[in-house]
Amino acid sequence: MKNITLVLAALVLCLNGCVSELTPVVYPTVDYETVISTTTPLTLEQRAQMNGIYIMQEGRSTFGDTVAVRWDGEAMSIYTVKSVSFFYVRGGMRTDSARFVGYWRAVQGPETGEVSLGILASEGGKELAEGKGNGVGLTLRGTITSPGSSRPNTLVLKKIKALANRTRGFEIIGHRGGGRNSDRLGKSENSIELMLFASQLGATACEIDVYGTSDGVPVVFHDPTFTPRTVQGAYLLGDISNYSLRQIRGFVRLVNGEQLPTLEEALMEVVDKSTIRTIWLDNKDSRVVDEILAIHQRVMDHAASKKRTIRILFGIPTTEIYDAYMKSPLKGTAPVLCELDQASVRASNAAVWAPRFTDGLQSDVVAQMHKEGRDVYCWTMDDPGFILRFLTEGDFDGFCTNYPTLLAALFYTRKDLK
Amino acid sequence: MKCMLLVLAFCASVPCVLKAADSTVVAPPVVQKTAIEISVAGGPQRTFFREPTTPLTDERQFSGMSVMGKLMWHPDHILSVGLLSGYTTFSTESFTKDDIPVLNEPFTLTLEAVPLQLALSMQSGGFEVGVGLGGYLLSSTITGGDAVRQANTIFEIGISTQVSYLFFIGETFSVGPEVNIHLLSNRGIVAISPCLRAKWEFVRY
Repeated sequence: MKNITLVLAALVLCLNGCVSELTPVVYPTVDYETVISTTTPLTLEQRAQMNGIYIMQEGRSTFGDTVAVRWDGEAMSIYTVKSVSFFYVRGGMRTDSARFVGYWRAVQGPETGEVSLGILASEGGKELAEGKGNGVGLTLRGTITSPGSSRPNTLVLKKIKALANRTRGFEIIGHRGGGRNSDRLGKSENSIELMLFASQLGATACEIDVYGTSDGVPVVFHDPTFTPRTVQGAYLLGDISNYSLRQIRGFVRLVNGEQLPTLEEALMEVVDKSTIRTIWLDNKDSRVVDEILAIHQRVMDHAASKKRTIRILFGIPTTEIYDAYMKSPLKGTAPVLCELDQASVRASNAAVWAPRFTDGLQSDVVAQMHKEGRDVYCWTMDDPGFILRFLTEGDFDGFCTNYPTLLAALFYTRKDLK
Repeated sequence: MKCMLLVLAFCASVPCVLKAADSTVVAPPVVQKTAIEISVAGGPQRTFFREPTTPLTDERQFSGMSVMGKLMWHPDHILSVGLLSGYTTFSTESFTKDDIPVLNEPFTLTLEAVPLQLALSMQSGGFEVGVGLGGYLLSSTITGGDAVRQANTIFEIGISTQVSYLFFIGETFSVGPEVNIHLLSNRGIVAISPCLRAKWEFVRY
């Protein structure tokens, strides 16, 4: 009996000792160039005309009844609540019709496939070409491929109204730069590549994590230690603060092969190449608070020279960071986001208070914060039920989420926002 | 990998169950023999990494060496239990300053491990199959550059298996070939070491 017990214990330990890897997501190869070279890019007005809430006339078994369509830069995204999917399509006008190609991806699973969409002249293409109307009635018609399906499925979407919005504005904040490594987005969490892609996922803002290297350089990285979850490379073990930036650059890459970015590099790239409106710096190393504030100044000067409007919030998640900030000679030079109690929010003159969602709606405190001229962001909202409740019953100015696609779909298609 | 472990554990458990069942049916004359054994195995090792060890090369396989020691309590059963430890070098790489433009200095990188494991093994005739459960103190050393010599150590979960055939030389001493396998699945490291093993039953009661 003792032996059997030992063997069973050994078995349990063996199984716990093995790590199952997630199946990699294989994205379809899409020929964007052929479509782009044979179409004319949409104007900003035409893109705004296309933005809106669409009903699914065909394809609702996969994507649900209602979806949000939103242009960002050169690409159009579609966000769905059912299957929590985003579409990334590019294309343009062909006289009085339109043609788009791209892919879709269910972010909570491995499903992905190709997308081919068009707008016929008789289904809103003519009005779109002429820039007439508000786009209501415009119909996107095409096909998608799906795993396990031998032939493409038909997709028909019809615009019924403009995207929902909120008087005070609202930030859809992508956690870790827009998503986690476990979501297999093809771009590593906290990488520059993901931050630049975050708006296609539905984010209007990014939360990024900041640690310091042994030589005091703030870098964007989520964990205090290097692990196979976050990096490739066998030799850098343990705390990130054990290593200099040169060693990190020399010996590790993020899990999808990207260079681990310094904070300054990441912020400059976001300013130059993205439409992200707000960056939340989740500061985790009190040694580099002064350097982070100095970088903030340099990046804001750069943004001003480019006439780029962006808000970079200095995050205070812990009392260590709070103490370091209050002692810093650069205190007051950056807008602060404080996750601590109300007294700390007021003492640090924070522009944003960021409570965790498990503390509830806190309507009275939120109203008081609004009266004091502060925004309130809640974190980390991933459950559709909680998101809907907090959107409709609460009065928050933004949510941080691991699934900006889900939040975007829920936010833009809601009817009863405050 | 889980299937392999399941099969291994199942195979290991069958003789126990059979022996337990037999002992309830027949009561053989019992000659009590409990031993405490110490064994040492050493030899060359080939290590395979799931991913390249640095962004500088595509190298995933390295040669090194492994020395393992086991202290086992072997009651009058087919199963023995004890502790396993030792030392193994998973990889060593040297780079010139031309290899690493960002560093512009020569570097030597080494990854070593010390297993700290609960050892279980089953003997039948000269054959012995064992498994080590627990983990490894994984240590990396960077020599050169800013730090001159910088070592960092972490604990990483992992298992090892050993298969050996031992020839008795005298009443308490045996020696024979062994294959040692180390698996650190979280790090994507597998190491195989064909080695020579010597075992000594230094206490019997």
